[in-house]
Amino acid sequence: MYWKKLNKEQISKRVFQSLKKNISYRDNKVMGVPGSFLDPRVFPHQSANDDPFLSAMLENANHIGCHTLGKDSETFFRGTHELETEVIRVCAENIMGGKPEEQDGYISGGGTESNIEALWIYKNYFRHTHKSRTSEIGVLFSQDSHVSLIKGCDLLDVRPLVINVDDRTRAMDQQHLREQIISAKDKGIRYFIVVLNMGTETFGSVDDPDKVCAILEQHDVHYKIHCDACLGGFMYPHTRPDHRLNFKNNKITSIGMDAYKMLRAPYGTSIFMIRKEYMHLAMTEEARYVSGKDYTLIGSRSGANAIAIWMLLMTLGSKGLNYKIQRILIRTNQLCEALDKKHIDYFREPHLNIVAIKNKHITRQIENHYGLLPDDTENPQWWRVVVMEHVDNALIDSFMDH
Amino acid sequence: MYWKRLPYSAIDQTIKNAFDRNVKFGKSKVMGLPISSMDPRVFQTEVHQSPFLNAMIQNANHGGCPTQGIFGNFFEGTEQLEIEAIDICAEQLMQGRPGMHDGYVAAGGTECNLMAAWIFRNLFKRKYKANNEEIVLLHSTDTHYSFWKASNILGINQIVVEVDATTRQMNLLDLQSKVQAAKQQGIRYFILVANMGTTMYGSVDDLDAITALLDEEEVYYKIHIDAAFGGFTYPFTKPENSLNFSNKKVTSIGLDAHKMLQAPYGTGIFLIRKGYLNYLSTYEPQFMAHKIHTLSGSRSGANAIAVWMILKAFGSKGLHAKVKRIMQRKKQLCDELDKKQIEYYHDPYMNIVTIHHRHMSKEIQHHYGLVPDNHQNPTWWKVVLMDHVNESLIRDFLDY
Repeated sequence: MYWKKLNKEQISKRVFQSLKKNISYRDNKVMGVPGSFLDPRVFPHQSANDDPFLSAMLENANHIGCHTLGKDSETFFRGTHELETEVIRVCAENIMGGKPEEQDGYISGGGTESNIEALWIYKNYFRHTHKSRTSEIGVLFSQDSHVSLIKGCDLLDVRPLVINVDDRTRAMDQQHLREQIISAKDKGIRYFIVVLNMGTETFGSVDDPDKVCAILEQHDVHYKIHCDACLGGFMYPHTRPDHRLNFKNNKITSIGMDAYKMLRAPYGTSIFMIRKEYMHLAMTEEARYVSGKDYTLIGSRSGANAIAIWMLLMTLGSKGLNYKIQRILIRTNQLCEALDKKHIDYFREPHLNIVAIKNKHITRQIENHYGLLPDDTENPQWWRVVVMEHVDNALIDSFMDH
Repeated sequence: MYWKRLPYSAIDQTIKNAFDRNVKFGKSKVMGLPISSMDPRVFQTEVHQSPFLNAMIQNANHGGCPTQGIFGNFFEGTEQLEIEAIDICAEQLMQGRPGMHDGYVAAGGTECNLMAAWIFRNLFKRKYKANNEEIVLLHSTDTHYSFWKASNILGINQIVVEVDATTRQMNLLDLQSKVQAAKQQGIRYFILVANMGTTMYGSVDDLDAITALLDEEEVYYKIHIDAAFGGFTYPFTKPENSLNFSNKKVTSIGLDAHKMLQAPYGTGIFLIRKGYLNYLSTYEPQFMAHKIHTLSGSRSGANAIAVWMILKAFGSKGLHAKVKRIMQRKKQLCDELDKKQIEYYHDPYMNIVTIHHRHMSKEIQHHYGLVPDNHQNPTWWKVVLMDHVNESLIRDFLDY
């Protein structure tokens, strides 16, 4: 994995060049769109201080649509669309092992949107390609998966098939997986959308695609796999380069990863990526006034968000990101060693920065004091610690002494 | 309609106080969240003179629906500002009664529209045991494309009613015959979308005429108002209208602050009467503890703060004055088009003027960044009177 780092001047120059290629509400004559720069009476434009990101915020470009398709997407904001396309390529090709220009993608509103976009595309895939009925489609995922999958199943009216996990390893219970597939087939479900996690929300656990695929194939069913890498996408590929949840594995069709978590981008920066020839399944033909049409769940969205991710990736470079992650990994290891010494019961996936501690060790005071979150607010079994950059050694020590 | 304007210093101070009630990454001891402030190595953090940019950098997460309760949240300080923005929109602009609505700052008009259609579909399914085949989305052909998207996503059909080519109003005969045909096919539940300003024409549906017809046909229906375009204009230009919560038939409304209000993208305002968000809750045992009230998950607190800031910086009077100024410019444009005998459509209370294709050259479209109804086969091109479309730009356009 390698991409080059750029210095501050290079980054600034490139962002301003891109903004210049956009239409400007101030300098050009734009009378046809219900958009404008941010209201200067409320958001003083001099406060951007020639900072590229803040200037991009104030310019308020609209990145509606999907720009990797290379069609005639909105010409007004062509300059910054290019930066978005570069972000998608770094994530899909450099981080997730895809072949050059064989993936499409866009910056979605968050992990929830990325997951729902994937479910939506696969529902339409089975309906179009296999002429399936919606009632014949099931969505298979572990009980540790993100709640947005339940949301997405309800929204899209497809049946969720939740697989139990082992309490110790947090791995999918393979026997239960088999049973769920058999019982789903009995109910007439013939097409499976499978969501595998690269870092679950509470545990950071990672699903094993080979085991799941083997079982699906034993049962001779059609399936498509989306990888939810919202939490682990900017970490796991560095800490475990030989993993199987990326585009090198031809069974993985799409991946979502969030830049507002480990990468510290603003909200609204999830990256949805999918192999070519799938995006059109989410196209709304009736978006006639949008040049290049709309292929996304959400419609209009902020261009500044795409620019923020581009700036982060270019400032760090692959080496800088790797360095940042190794530091966090070391601190997570230190935390786990300290927990071991105190014989505290916890779960941790060794390549990620999440440590879930058993409820019996945690007092109300600790939860409150250290802003911990439980797996289940009503009946907590586990409390998770996420070792972010702001969780430094001093904070870890103070937590351990508590 | 009235809310007070706040001076800049008071806005700044209120936002600072709100952030003091949030947890602070790096200062408070927060170890449980996979999120942080924006990376200071990449983003300029010396932005204290701008409360909004500072809010961006702080990167608060406003996931969930604030009107369902924020007490004890990590970001309850700034979530309080979101509640205030929602209250102004629901109670002042949309004439709701205090405390009778839920709402949140959504990603945009599309999310608001999906939310409404999703909630009403679930209501019909859960409360009346309806099948998807018995539920339809009902709206005019000029309605936003997100309802075609919603139909595909939600698995329910649409009834698209023709409009009159000159008035852009729903053809009531077409409405009646389509509703009657639907009833014969066993369709019993209607999700009616009424527009406060269509995207292309700015046309506003005659809601009373439509509901009178639906009542006559004795069908169940729920109403969502798509005010993404007109929500911050029409309530000022035509305060006496029935497309708001004063009409008890209206259940939900969506507005967009990233249009007329010049807020950043990601500032749709979804409003709905109390009690309806429950139709999003899940029955899946492993996930029952999660409260599902919004389509989005995590979302930017800075966006909510931006909406609050604009509303407070203008006050109702300031916003009204802005709208008036824009409407005067629109009148100037229309007067000149009349003189030149150019064919156009406009709603007298809205700030869009849609000009017929035959008066347009490729050069004009390109030069003035105009958008057609259909890129493949344009019939109309719209001019949107935004604040930056000033008198000299209009003059320049007319002289072209």
